[in-house]
Amino acid sequence: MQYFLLFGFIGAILAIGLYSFIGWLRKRNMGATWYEWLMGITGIVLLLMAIQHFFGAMSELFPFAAWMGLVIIGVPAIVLLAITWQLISRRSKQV
Amino acid sequence: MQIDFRERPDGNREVCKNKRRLNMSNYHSTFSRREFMKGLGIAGAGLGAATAVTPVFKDLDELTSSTSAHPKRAWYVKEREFGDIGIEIDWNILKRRDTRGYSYWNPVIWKQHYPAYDMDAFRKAFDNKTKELWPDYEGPTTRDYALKNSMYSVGLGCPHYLYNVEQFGVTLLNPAPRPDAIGMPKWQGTPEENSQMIRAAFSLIGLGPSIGVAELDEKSRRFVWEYNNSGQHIIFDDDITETYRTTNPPTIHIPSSHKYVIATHNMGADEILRRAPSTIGACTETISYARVAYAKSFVEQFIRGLGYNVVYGHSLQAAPAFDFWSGVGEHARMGQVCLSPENGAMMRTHAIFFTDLPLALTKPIDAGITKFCETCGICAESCPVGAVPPKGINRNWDSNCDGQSFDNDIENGGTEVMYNVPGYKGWRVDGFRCLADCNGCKGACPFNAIPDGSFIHSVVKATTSTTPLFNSFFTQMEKSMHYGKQDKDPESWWHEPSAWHVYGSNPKLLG
Repeated sequence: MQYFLLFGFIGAILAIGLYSFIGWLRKRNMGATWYEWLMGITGIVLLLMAIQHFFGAMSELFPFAAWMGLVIIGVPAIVLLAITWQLISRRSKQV
Repeated sequence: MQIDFRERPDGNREVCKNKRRLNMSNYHSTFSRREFMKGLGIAGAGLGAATAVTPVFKDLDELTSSTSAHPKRAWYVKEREFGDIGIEIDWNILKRRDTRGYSYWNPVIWKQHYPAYDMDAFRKAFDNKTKELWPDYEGPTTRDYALKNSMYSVGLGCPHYLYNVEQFGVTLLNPAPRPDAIGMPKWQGTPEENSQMIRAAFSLIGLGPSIGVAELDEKSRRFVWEYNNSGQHIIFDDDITETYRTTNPPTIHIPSSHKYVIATHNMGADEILRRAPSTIGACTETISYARVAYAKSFVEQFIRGLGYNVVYGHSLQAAPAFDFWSGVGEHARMGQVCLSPENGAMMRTHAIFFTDLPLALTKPIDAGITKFCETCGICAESCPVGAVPPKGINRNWDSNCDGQSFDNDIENGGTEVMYNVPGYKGWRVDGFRCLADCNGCKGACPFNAIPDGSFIHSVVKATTSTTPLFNSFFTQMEKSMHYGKQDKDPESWWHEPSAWHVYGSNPKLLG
């Protein structure tokens, strides 16, 4: 429960972001492909895991493990999200 | 990201009141009720996804009705059948032992049995290991010695306190009266209710949170020495209800009615333990004895106050045997140490109670720990003197005590008192090398991860309990992620306020 508020806040940000993203897609009359959804959701899940690991390991008093985990899990998450973003945004410019 | 609001087609009074918003309607709009509800749904999903990765807590009813040895046992810890502790036992060999002449950590008697006993060599190896683990550590300093010596003086080195670790110990001035003495009925509860009551009471005195209950039957009685190392003959007596002892001949009589065995521990000071072997590293061990000596009297008085009887069994049996038998944890490479899926090797001085209070039995467990030890060996790498069998030495039936062979067991016609117990296929520490308060092995175990921390530990433990396929990888990751001692040099403890837990134990280890 130590990080309930943090993860509640992250959940709210995520929900607003997702809602806005869907709105943005609709406004441009666009849809995301299945693999874009897959990469995006995988990226978000990995990002959440990276954040949980970071704070979890910090609370265990293992800062090196916390930062290492943040890099090992967080970087692929960012890469996946960036690729997804680029795929969609480039397509949106073509529309 | 710019948030895009759609224009409401109908508008309403609330929107109309705000002209500015209406004028800006080409750029902004308000949510419809439908969209608002949709948004709530998505927010709920987001919250759900986020909380899914946070630690899972059981509800109170589930927690209190649990009959497993640990109140928050994870789904991946499987229960074994009673009597199956995950290692092979040869019941033809494993019998009640005569430990007269055996003296662990008693230099005087030790020298008689082990001429090569050399404490100076041990100390040198100990210091070398400290330097090897933390090359930049410049200690120990005066305060390190002060901490170590003060803990020792009130703990393991204090006869006034430690005397109570023995079965009879101190005589209390105000023993708890039995129920009939205060006009109350004897406590009557179901075994499950009694187990919950024991958990509640033990929590107040520093025992737990893992509390196993085993039945003392024909097999488990063999864990109890025939003679302890004080020379007392331990007799199970059908004709008595309360324990007593005699001095000539030296005996301890335990009522046969005491068929419930409670196995628990005092939790270690984890941040100190992770800094072993070092001058301060053994503090957690030395003080724990005094804490258990104190707790022991409380348990005796509490059970007496309920109208039942209890015998404390610190030196009556092999330390971790009832831990395995009751599912507190599993056998491990460290031999004498019980490894728990929740607390790893953090559980310090063991506390065993034989009682006639009916209790719900807890089953032995399989969390893949013993299997994990086969490919790990980090504990052995942390041992200054090579007393813990290193990786590569698999479970076996041998003594592993320098110069000793079970073939020469004095109880089977040989000439030597065995320093290890024959009859099980497992690991045994070399008792002739492991000479003093060190704790190097215990502080190194990968299962010492703090519960409710990173989700990684749950993933690793769940995988480990299911398949040993990734065990080597996990061992390597433990090292690569510095989850061991790399960043825990002894000096750092003095500068780490978040490591100064009350009683030294991280609250997350305590239940």
